Amino acid sequence: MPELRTRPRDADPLEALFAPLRTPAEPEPERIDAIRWAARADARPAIASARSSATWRPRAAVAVGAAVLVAGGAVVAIDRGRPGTFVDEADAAAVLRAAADASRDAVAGDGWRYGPVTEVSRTTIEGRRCADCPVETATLETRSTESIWTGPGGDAYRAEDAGARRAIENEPLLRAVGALDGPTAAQREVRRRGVHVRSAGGDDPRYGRTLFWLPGGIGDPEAVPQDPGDVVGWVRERLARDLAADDALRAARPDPAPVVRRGEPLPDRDRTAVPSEPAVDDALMALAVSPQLDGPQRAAALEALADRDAAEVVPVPAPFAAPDRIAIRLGNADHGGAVTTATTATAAEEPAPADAPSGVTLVFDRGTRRPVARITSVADGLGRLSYRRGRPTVRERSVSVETQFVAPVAVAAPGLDAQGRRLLDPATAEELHRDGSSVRWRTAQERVAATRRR
Amino acid sequence: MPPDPATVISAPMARRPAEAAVAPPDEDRVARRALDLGRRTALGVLAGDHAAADDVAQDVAIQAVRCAATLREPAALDAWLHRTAVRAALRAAKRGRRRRDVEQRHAALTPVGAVPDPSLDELATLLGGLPERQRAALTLRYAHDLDDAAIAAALGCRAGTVRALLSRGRAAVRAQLEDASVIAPRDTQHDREDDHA
Repeated sequence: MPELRTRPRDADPLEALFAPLRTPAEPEPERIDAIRWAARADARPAIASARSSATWRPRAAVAVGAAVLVAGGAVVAIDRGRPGTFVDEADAAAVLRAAADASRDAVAGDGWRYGPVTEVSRTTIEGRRCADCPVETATLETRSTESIWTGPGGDAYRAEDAGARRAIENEPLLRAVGALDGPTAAQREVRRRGVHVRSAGGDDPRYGRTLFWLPGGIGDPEAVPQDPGDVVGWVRERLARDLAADDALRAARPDPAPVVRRGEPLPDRDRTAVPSEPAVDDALMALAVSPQLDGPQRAAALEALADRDAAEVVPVPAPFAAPDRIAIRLGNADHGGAVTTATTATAAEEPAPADAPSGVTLVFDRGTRRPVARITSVADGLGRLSYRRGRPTVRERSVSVETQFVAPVAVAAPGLDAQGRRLLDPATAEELHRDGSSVRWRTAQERVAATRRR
Repeated sequence: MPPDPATVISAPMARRPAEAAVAPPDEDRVARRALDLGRRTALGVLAGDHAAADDVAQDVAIQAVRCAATLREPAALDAWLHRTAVRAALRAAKRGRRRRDVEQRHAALTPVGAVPDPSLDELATLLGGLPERQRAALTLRYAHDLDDAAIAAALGCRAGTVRALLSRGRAAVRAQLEDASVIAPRDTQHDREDDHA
């Protein structure tokens, strides 16, 4: 049949369609290294965990079992999934380098290609426990869809856990940031203006800023003034000095790749070396929570904060109520910072607005002036509570608080009685006090299990 | 008297002379091969979802590097990789379905799955409507040029099943192309002859 022969029978459309997949691709050497590293048995737990953090991952980092939060084209923090899974700091440093390269490419190439990363609600990086490194503990809190539906090990969370938070303690890894040659892009960016991750819903100030820690750490604790007026000037000077150093560094060694974030230009790249006032507040808060400082210095920072309308004394929340304790809420509603923003409901008998921004409350021991608890609540039904036991050097334990837990730990939650237990579900209260202390530490797995039970 | 170390070392080799002749592949080569092969397979099965395909490729590569030293038949590395990649990709596709279900119930959440490579747009669209196993079969045939037996080994099914999967997959893709007027409608009788051939 001549008409049949004239038809393009030999041109199989599927051949053409699959043509892009027929071309082998050569993977990056860093990625090969990362995979070889990850193939070691001791990296396995982190790998499983990293899968659940897929929103923060440049590929190289995922390959080695670390999830990386990228903000402004810079690696901000790395989620190892579980503390202690990295072999040593040299490994961590190598990982970080690979991740930094990968993240630059990823951000420059396609912006927040991993869509849910736009929903990262906040990033908190706090300097704690180490005089040499400004960062030891990173808390990444995300509203990503990934963290909603998968948890560590791939277990499913309830969908209602939207906004589930993750607390990542990255001591060796983040210490490795300091082990790199010079400040990383992350350090420069965060020092410069904090991390700003736009939320999917727009530029909501409640989400998207980081605690602006004191660049380079506190340094010599003895140098911190004990006068509330002096400490503000000292903080301003430190911030300005660091920003100026960053400017010089940036001029000498510009970032290799332009940053593209959803097609928008990176804001405020060429800011003059003048610290913003929220940054000053944040730095004061870093002083206020630093275990490096003695009582009078911390008290000076707190008083300075209060003078600046960035902190207020509030009733001690019930789980932490004790005659020798005082609770101070850091930040105010106008601050705009994620951690540094307080709840707008200031009295316990007033109902908190549904859209109340998050806040942080520190409970201090009156005698030592050391914080014994840090309480954070958010308005979307999720909260976070951290507290210390015993001496401040004891490792801080974190509690991810679900909806039912918000009421007892929120400073200004509506309907609390003197003990703060009126709103407690009996089952929940039992969980809260099961171990005899105020709060029972719940791992993510436990939370998943509890969720399923309900 | 302690045994001669050389004797101890060579004893297992003597029992399996064929294995002694073939050295296990080095980690670099295995990782490269696994990444490449795993990613291309996963891209097909996952209909162009690059992020998920990268995950699959990494899983396959890590698993391959771990197992490379113990591979009994290094020459069969590709077959093993195909099988592992297909399984991993199918698992990822299943997870993706669950995830989409959750996201659809919460429409406020930003969906993901953009295809950054425009050259895969059309393929992703066409494969998106097919069952995962059909996608896998088509990918192994058209991206990796595997025959029915090799595809069957990778999918863990019979060759006849592979032929059925390929036939249905081709028909579905062609139907979509015809609907979009990309190709001319085919003679049904001729199609059947082609598929049987």
